[in-house]
Amino acid sequence: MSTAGQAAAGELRTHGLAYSAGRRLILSGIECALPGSAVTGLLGPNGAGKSSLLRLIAAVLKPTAGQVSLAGTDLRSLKRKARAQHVAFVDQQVDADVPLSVSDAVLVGRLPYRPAYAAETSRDEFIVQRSLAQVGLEGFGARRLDSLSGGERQRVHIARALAQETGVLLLDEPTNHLDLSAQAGVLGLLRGLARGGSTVVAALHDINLTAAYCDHVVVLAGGRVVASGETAGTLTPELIRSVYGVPAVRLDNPLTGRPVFAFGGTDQP
Amino acid sequence: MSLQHRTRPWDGAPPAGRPFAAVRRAGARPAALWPLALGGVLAVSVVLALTIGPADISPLQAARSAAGRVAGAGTGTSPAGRDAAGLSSVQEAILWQLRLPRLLTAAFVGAGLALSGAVMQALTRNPLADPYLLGLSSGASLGAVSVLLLGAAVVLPLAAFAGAMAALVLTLTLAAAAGSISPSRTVLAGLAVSSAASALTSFVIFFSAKGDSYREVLNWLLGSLAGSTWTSVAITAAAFLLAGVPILLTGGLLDGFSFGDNAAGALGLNVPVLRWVLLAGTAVLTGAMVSVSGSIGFVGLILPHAVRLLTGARHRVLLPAVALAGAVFLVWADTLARTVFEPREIPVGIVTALIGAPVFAVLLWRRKTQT
Repeated sequence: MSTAGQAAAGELRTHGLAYSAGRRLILSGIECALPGSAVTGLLGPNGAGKSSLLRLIAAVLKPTAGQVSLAGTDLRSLKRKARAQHVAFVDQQVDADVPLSVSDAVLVGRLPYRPAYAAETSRDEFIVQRSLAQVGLEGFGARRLDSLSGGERQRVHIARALAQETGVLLLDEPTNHLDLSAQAGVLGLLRGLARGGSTVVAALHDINLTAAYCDHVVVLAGGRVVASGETAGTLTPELIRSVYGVPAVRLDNPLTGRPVFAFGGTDQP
Repeated sequence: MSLQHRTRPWDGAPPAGRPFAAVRRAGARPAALWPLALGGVLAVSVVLALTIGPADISPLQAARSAAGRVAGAGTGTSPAGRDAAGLSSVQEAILWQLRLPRLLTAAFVGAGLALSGAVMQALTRNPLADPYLLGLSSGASLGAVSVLLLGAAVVLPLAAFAGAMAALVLTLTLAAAAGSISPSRTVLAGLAVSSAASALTSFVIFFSAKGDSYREVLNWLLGSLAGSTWTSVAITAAAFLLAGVPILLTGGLLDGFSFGDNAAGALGLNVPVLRWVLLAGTAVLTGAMVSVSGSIGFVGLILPHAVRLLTGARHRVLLPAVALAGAVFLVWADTLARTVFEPREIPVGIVTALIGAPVFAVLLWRRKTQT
């Protein structure tokens, strides 16, 4: 598989990133490194600030302090369109019955590459087809988006991000509402993109999916980074217990050789 | 991943868009031909509608009269056209001082309202959005009716525009006060502003109107093109050039809003600025249109949905097609309004609602069966 694009991949870093909504502090002092050519899983309980962190990195939200750099360049110093050529973002599935066709939905990813008044070029059309092929949706171009299954639709969103030809791909809960095989399909796809050189960051809820598919993890709790690093060394039963308040044991999955976690009931009355 | 194509209930009876879907698989984009086709339909509609009515003017006579006028304008002798077409001076006047300005006004008003509706539906990601939803039409009505009853009809378009703009600002401020401007909050705020403006309009009418002004105001509230003059054409055309054309040229950006504000922002769009600029543009359009025609309902709501069935949802193609279809729709709705119960004329808003409501019901039903 070819790389996602020509744009710089490489390490994303956040420096003292903080964000508050109104007077409520959502994130503070976020220092983390999100390596290139790897899938990083963003874990944490509801309200820990996972979505906010992804949106800050995508520059959809403005931080109250700190900055995000990609391979040493401050992302906010770039113009909007230039930034959109480096960083792509797939939001939580908005349940919109968008009346677009699949190829039109992917074509939206080419917006950062042309002036507002210009029509799409044949190169845009070619990249749309290539992106659809990359996510395994050849021949789906003329289908209506709202006629697809949840897993297929998520692949269309990823294809739209690929059409943006960025080195960085951010995804907010890409496996939500998907069945088991679609979850594996989407995460396998992300691993393939990381092998091709992309920096992939996905907020996930499922600890075992994270353990099975992510090279690195960043664990958030209460708006702070409580742990980060290589998945196998970072995800421990102690960490899970302290972050989620759920007792856990670590096992080895005989099918994959990757760690899996089994959970007990909460240890609080 | 399943490659199986689900069968849809309407697979047996292909709607008009199906053959194009088949061609599109080959990579062509014939949907772009719809604006051209609709432009042709509009031209034919205007010429035909020009000759429909009690004055007994044939298309040939109208064409000769037009040719005569053009020639006359060239040589500076204006009455030449009438002689060539064999029209009386009354027929001449009906054709060029009543029907043509009225038709052109109808075309611009239809185009402006339908375009506004399509833009609002995209920006709020709400299929029910139209100039009424965000309170623009009610605001424009309030501005206009107030001025009308205070007797200062000269600044009518300006008052309507000010009313539309005030309603828009109020709606968005109200939506923003409750947090970020989300689609549902915008819609709820729009409903509140719209209700308040309608109530105030009724209040103003109830307290100030006497005798004949009741009729005038009623015509105004239901929407009518009966009073159209060349000034109406100038106002609506100017608004369309000023606000409509820029929107048409940059409409492709609206596609970026399809998957939410965050997705739009990540595509490099300046979401808050774009939203304000585009909504202000629709306020200019709506204000100008309402100021000459009163509040005509359903055009902004129905046409974007109907046209999307033909062209798909890409705004580069959809917006010009919607504007043209809106023009065609209102030209014929107004022709019906002035001829069906001849010699009585009914407000065109009644016709658009009578056509629009069942069409909307059908569209809703189709949506349901598709998903």
